[in-house]
Amino acid sequence: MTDPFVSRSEGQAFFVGPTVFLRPVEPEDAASAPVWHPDPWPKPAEVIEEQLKDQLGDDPDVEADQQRLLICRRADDRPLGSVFFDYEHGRECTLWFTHDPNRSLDERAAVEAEVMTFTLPWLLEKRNLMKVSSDHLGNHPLVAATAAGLGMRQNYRLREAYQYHGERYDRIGYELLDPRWIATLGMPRGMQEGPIEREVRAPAPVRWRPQGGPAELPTNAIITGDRLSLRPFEPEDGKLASRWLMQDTDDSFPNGPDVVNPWAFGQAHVALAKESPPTWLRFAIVRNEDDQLIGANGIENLDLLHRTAETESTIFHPDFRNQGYGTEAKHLLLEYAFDRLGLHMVYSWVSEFNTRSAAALRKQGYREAGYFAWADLYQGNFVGGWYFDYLAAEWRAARK
Amino acid sequence: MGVSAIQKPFVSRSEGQTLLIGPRLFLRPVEPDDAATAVHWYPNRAPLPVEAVRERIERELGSDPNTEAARQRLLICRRCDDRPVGSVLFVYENERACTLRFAHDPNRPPDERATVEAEVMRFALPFLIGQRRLMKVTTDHTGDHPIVREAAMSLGMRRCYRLREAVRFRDRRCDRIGYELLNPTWIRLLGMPRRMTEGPVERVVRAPAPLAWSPPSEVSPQAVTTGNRIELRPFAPGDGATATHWFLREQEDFYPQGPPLRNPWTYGQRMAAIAREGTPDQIRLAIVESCSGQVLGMIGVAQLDLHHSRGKTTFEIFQPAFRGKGYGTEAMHLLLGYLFDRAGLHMVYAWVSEFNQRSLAALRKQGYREAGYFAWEDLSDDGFTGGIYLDLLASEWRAARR
Repeated sequence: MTDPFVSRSEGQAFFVGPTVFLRPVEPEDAASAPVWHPDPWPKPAEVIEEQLKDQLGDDPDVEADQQRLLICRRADDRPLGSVFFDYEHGRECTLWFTHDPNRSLDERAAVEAEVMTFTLPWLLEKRNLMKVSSDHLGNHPLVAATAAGLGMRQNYRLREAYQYHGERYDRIGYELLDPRWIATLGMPRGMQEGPIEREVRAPAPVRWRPQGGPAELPTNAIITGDRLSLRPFEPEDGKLASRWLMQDTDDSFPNGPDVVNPWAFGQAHVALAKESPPTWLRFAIVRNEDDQLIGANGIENLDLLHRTAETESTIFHPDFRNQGYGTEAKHLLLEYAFDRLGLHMVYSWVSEFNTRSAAALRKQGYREAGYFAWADLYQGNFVGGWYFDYLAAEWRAARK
Repeated sequence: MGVSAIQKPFVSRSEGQTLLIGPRLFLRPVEPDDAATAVHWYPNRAPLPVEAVRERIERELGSDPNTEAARQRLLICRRCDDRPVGSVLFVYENERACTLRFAHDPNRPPDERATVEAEVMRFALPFLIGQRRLMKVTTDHTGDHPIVREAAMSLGMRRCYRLREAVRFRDRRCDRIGYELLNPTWIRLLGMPRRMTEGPVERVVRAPAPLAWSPPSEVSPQAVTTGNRIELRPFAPGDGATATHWFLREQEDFYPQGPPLRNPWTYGQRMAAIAREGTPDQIRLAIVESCSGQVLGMIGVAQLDLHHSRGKTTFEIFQPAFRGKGYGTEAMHLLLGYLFDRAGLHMVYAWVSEFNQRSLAALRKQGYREAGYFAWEDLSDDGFTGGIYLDLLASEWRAARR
């Protein structure tokens, strides 16, 4: 006689549903990596095991703050996928799903729905978080119904941000706000999507016309516009950036001006440059006329599989703001992202507090795609943050 | 003789700086070149060659400005000549609170140190509350200097802790004093949280350590210290799996943020990493039932500081069956015996969420004294909950044994 199967979830007090349960990842799980690991490349188990040990590290609090748990079937303990718990500021958490790539969209949605049902209320009630969010490929009716049943609301739609089996899908987010905090702080506004058909008030020119011709341009320029070039950010540039940021007189961020360490800022760009494949490409923005460094911009969360990235930019000193430099630098960045890297779309996140940056993005052609409630502390309450999206096709069509 | 050069007037590097600047002092980021003046500001008492400090600074600054900014040391410099007079570490927590910890040129007397701290507090704290919009800011000080106290009061701060004799300063011991400044906009929304209440110095210890333990005849060869029913041994990496097994089965509500879910591999590796430290800044021991060899919990000390002869104790009983039966108290007294008698600590302290009333009651019973209160530490089911500091002197622990 064989003993009846006893799941390792037996006795587990939380993160257990009717058919699936969650458990921590262990190095031995490298053997089943193809069905749960977010890396889509074929790798021998021993390589994955090495990487897992490195990622799990030796600080359980750090691991718990960005924690991947396996989603396993209770019937036989087989992993079906994984879910990444991304905690922020000890007050919120976002769930990101990874699935066995051989499963259909319906099967994936069924797993997501069950996991959402037993994790999200628990995170509010037991972890006492203010808010939980979940991110999904497409808008599957089962996930939408589950989200609605849990009292969630859709908070973003990044158009065509995921590719799956040769087709493009929107990236959909839902958020669940703790009713106790809604009672204290009031109900924050919901997302308002901007129109698809929209006027681009400051489009990229059809062609750039740098003054002085190619012979006069900086030799390390990667892309050049009428007045500006983007070049690699050198470690030494960190010193000027740090000094200028401490002279800031504008109140652009809800948590005040950055105090950036010049060495760490410089070394960050060295570390980014060593990444292979890169996840964040960062440029120094320099003036063509005098090679003056005025800011930095880049594309982070670069995903060459889905062909998406998040754009970001900073103009270091107030003297260089409001002169169109930011917009020219952004269009150079978008040209690099769309025409040279072949990205399909980009997105951007801006604090609701920073209305100037939001206005600049709208002028450049970005479209409002979402809203994150309670993103930053502000005067006895919180301010939110906006998501914007921008398709390559839209950016190209707007050039004039 | 040549024509004497016209000396340019000194221009401080703080010129044009719009934040973190006072009438005589300003703060600026640390750079590797500051290794040359490390003796005035670097929080290390050993005489280190400049090259060695430079390497350390580069390693500590790292390559992630956001990580650096979340725990950021800034130099305190004089505006008249840019000379560093010390440094201040900004420890941010969850982007809603920050603690300032000062390091001074060791040759300066207490009055000068207090004057520097007072000026930095006067320009840094309003910045953190007004522009960073934090909910609260805390400052940590050696002793209770009247200049610092006066600055704290004028800023609207209140005392939030006093850890007795926690600091060694030259030939004497001083209390470690904390002040907190709460953002008035959050007080209006959430109400004023309670103040600290110090427990009495003279107190009854309801569960003191025995004068001598009566261990079983067979003691495990791994045991570091042994009591009547349990022994403490080094926490092995493999014990991480036992801990996680029980974390996933936790039914009781100890923590305002729910049961911890620690990865078994990472938890085990943490113990190995701690053990590799030459002079550890923390110690972790497995609590083992002597008769069965079962690991029932973990106990240890964090922020172990041999210079100041102090440490912060911590413990967890993983297995519910062993709770409420005195195992935790026996383990704590074994740990205290180890820390006071073998490691020579002068005092210990503990931090407990006010949500965790059971741990709080256990510590009081073991002889700890309430030493402070931290407002708005964790999210809870009715807004925020605070944390309580407790302290215990070696002399008190020894005197209570019976």
